[in-house]
Amino acid sequence: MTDAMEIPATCPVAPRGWPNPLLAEYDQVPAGRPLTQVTMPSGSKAWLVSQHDHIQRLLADDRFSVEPHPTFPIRFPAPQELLDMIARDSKNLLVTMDPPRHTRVRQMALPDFTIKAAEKLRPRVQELIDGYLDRMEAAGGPLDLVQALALPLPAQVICEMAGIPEAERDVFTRNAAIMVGTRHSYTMDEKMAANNELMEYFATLVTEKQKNPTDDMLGNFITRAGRTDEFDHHGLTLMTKMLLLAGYEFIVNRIALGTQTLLDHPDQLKALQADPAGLMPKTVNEVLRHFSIVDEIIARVALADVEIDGVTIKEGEGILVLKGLGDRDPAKYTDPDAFDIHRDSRDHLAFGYGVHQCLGQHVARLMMELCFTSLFTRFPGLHVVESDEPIELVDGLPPVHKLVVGW
Amino acid sequence: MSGMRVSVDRDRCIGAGLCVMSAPSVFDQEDDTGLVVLLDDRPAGVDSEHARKIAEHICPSKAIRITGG
Ligand code: HEM
Ligand code: SF4
Repeated sequence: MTDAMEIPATCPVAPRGWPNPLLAEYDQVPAGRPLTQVTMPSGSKAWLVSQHDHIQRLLADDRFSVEPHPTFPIRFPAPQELLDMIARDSKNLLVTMDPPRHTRVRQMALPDFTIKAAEKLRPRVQELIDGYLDRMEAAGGPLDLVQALALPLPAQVICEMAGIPEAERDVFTRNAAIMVGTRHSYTMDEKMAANNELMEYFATLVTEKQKNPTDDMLGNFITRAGRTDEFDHHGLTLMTKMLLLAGYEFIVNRIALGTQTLLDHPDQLKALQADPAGLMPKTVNEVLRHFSIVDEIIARVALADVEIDGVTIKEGEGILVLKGLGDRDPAKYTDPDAFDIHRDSRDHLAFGYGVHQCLGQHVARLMMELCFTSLFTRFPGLHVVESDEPIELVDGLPPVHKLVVGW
Repeated sequence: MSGMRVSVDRDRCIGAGLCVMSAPSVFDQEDDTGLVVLLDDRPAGVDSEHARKIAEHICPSKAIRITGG
């Protein structure tokens, strides 16, 4: 049986119901739809993968590649110059490497991203959160939780992991905020300037750590990489950028969206507060599942013909993985659009699947857990003041939205 | 059910640690490498159910194999 269908759609970039002018076609890909082939604005064709089971099977399949390829699915028409630059840079980025190189490089970073490594950060992350909440209390509400906590906290945690001295953190936080901000707040030129300033800073950081090795996540990575000829200096600078910025916007969004959603479900919040040990891990997973839809979609290209449920994805054809729809697949989760901290969402796709599954996930979980616990303990009367602010998705970029709260 | 055997393939493991989160008495993550270590190759009771779910749906790199049971 062949379920495949061809629709003349341009590529969807975000899910149904979300206010984005580019999104009309997403409605044509309801959750649970079979593989669908689309033509993208760039002219290349790709298969949309939206079922949970298909996503897991294809992302765990070694016959798909993330490396540059003439028919790699590119969603927007881009000038050749930009494509060349991306192809060049991608050779130095973990997220665009295939095994066996991916395996070697991931293992250079892995020891500092284990569950135990993340647990070691717990007291310090708590201390940082307490500091932000002290400042909130002193300033008095209502205020924007994104600016007060969700945006600065991950920046500080990442700086600590990278051993960036306090005096130099401003370069990171200022520019990182611009890079994850929506186009409403910053122009493309401002983003480019922020990127350049960050790259310059990371280059000096790499040099410094090569000269004086440090025992932190970034220092250890640079030391391990230095024992191989895997990267030159520029390569290390690009990897540094990826290790420090890969998940920044994602975690900012999750802290804000998770807080808002828990406030929108007072019964569940009450249950969580009554049994934090039992329900917090589930809550974190459910926030991740429920908001899987806000991220970039994942792309791969087939290196061989791959047969799945009667459909053949031919060698050279791309796939676009709509993990947000996979995480709302009714065949996988009952009443998938409902937020429910009691369900088992451990197998959500928010962190991806397959060998590239998020390296920073335990640090991300830790930040989410401690933010939720601390906020609701410290401010039992926490409530949303401005809730009509729509969650923005600009050109498919994830939202860093405003969340004004009082307490 | 008592015949269930668990094995791990460290060449496939990417150290996501999800097995450890779901069944800490069956799996651990090695400190210096971050890769999976099998603590119990014959889990029983609820651990065996977790192990099965982890192998089938949670481990992102298909590094865990279940035989028997
Ligand atoms: C809730 C927050 C986060 C979400 C939802 C998230 C999501 C993801 C996803 C979906 C991927 C896979 C991309 C692909 O397969 O193409 C990924 C990879 C990655 N993430 Fe995260 N991430 C988060 C937080 C973080 C943090 C805090 C860090 C670093 C401190 C981080 C570092 C990375 C790295 C380095 C990779 C590449 C791994 C590889 O290619 O092997 N992430 N993330
Ligand atoms: S879940 Fe799989 S990939 Fe992750 S640590 Fe366990 S065996 Fe390795």
